[in-house]
Amino acid sequence: MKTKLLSEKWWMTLLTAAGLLSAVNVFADPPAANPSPASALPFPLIERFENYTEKDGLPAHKAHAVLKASDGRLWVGTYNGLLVRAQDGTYHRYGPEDGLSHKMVMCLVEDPQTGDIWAGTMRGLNRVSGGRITAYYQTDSGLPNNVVYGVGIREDVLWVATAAGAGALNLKTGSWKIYDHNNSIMHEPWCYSIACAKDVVYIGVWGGGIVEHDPKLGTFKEYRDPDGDFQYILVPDSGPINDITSWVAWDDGVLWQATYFGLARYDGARWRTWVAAKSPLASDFVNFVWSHRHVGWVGTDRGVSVTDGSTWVNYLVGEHGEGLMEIHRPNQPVEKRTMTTALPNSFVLGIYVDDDDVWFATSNGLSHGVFAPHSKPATVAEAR
Amino acid sequence: MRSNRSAPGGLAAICSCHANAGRLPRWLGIVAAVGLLAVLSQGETPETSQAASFKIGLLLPPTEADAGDIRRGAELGVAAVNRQPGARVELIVRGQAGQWGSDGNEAVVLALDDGADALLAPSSGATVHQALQVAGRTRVPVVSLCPDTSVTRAGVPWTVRVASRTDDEAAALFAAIKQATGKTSLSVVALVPPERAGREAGKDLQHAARGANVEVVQTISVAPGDTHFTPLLQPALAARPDAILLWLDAPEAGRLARAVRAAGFAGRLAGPGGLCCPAFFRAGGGSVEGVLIPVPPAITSPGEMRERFQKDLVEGSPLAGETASRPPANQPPNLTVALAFDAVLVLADVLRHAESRPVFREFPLTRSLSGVTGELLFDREGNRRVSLQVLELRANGSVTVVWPQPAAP
Repeated sequence: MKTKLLSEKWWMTLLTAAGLLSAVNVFADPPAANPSPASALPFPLIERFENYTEKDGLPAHKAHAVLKASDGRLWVGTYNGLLVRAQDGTYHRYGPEDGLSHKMVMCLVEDPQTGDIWAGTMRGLNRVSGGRITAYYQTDSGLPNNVVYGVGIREDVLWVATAAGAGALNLKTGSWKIYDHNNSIMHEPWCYSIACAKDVVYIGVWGGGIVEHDPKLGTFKEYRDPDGDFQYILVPDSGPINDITSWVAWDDGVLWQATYFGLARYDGARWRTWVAAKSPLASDFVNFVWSHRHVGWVGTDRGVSVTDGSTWVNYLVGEHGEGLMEIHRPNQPVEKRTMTTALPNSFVLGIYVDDDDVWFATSNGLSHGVFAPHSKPATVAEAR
Repeated sequence: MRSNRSAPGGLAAICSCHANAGRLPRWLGIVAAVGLLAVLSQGETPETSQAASFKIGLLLPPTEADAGDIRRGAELGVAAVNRQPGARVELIVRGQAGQWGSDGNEAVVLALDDGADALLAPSSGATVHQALQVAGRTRVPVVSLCPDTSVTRAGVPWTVRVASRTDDEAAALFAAIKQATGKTSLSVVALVPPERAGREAGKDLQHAARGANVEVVQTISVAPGDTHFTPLLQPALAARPDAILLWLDAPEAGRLARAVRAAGFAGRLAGPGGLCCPAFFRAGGGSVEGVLIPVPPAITSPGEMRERFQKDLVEGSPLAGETASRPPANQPPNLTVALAFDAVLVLADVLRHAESRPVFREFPLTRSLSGVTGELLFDREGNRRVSLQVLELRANGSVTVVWPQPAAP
């Protein structure tokens, strides 16, 4: 049945594509009128998306995580294995037949000291080193649980967020520590994400907000939704937006919390919260957030929001699959543009951003966001 | 590998074909438009492809006190669904006793390795939350039997619960007890399970009490298998509550009902709808007399669907400790079995209706279905929309509706 459906869809696609060659004058959007210069925004704009799907060699239509390593290779966690793209454009897939602990790869991090890639899957943790995979399971290591939702590295310790606690693997000694509701402040043991900061580790807890752990001092601090059990935000900007934390990200002193009820940011002194009904946030259902230079790149079920807390840009997929860009500047009318390309799917599960470009893992493929010309920060230019 | 696909299917070539647009006949454009609409109507790539049968994964740790009831209900539901025309439904059951997180592992196996198109999660809040965590990342739909309010407050859009919420059940009970006692305010003691389950139940009971001029003067944890009830009950009885809430698994609640009555408590006993089952009657013996429980009205209303369900339930292989004999005429069916049955009806309806579309797109559920426990209708958060009635149990297994008071003939 599945084969037949795909076949019909393929023929329909061919016919459609051919027909559109003749009909483009009827259907084409007029060119955007006098678009604002990207340089006027506090972060780069995406001018087009380059999308990669199963037809292009992706091992599954669903991509869950994406990471550009320091050597320039792109790692993609998919529903069906771990994909790596070398800089020369060649691809290699790691699957269970190569020792990967499970086909579905949820999260990725690079060890900055060794270049090893750590991949969390729905059944076990994996270290990819020199093209070889070492798998870790709860039954043969100190991994708290096989369902690994998040990974992070701080100094010589790999941190994992699992369905039954957070684990810390000392990469020098190979010893593990486990933190859960029995030996820490965690309200629930269900760790859904993890982010390593300069001195502390932030654990996103399903039902327990965010737990801040200082490994040196051995202390724990809890950030909980001040509204308690209410799913509605009674007091904005007062703390985490909800106790169900779907993702946490940290960069340069700024902590972001993704939840299924909105987005929150903490700069060490003040919380800010955003919900879709009262802000430009694309959707309250936030899967993921990536923090880069104090800007949050937010993956939701309705596209991507990018914000520094004041200016917002949303990348959405229109009813007919067209790309839509909304620019929300403070105290200005919303500027809407139709893009020539779009995200392959509005359900965005993972994001990677650096000064050069952005990558999106979505429910229907991988997408490369190409920035419009923008001035890069001086520190980056100097580093090169 | 690079393509300029801006949308699935038909939009694949839009962005790269402008230069050749004028060379083909215009009629082809009309054909293309039709094709485009057809392709777009399929939305994104289905995460569950259309198939001749669907798989429902039942996440069922054997340590759940009502595991047998849930399995029985799910199996009866699958049998009922497969008697109807449409794609067949297959039930896969997984669960193991183990440390925290085992249920997450099992949910992963069901959803990703067994290929379950949707999950049925049991009445334990901890188990359901682990299923929801998997659902959050995979978008596999979950229908749960858990009454904890925290379940639908997790915010996962592709989930509903068929059981009533604990705070709604408690509110109905408080109203019934006030009516029976003629009091406008009440003091109650709650007996709850230990650890997380008790914490969540206690929280929900407190919430209901706050809105009903009721004071929960004590919440006492009862460890499974504990037989030394005297030190446990002394403070509860000393508080002289108007009612004691037996918010426990059915066998445990039955044993506590006996202990409370033996200790001389003459006030009201009440408990969740899950006590509407043979296990409570067996464990409680004569002490179930007068116990109040909230249930959906349909469970006591004669009807073709309920009668067929009751017949299948009685004629099927009995659960451990049960006999296959027909229960008293007005004894309602085992509520947990009925809820599991209805959960399968909901999932089967969703899966069949989704056809080739991703199943999660069916949520929030807006269609209404008829189930053994009444109309299966849900609010946007996935909570069952159902009014409750309160039954007074008799030791012989029969029941009387005591709230809302039946209209005079």
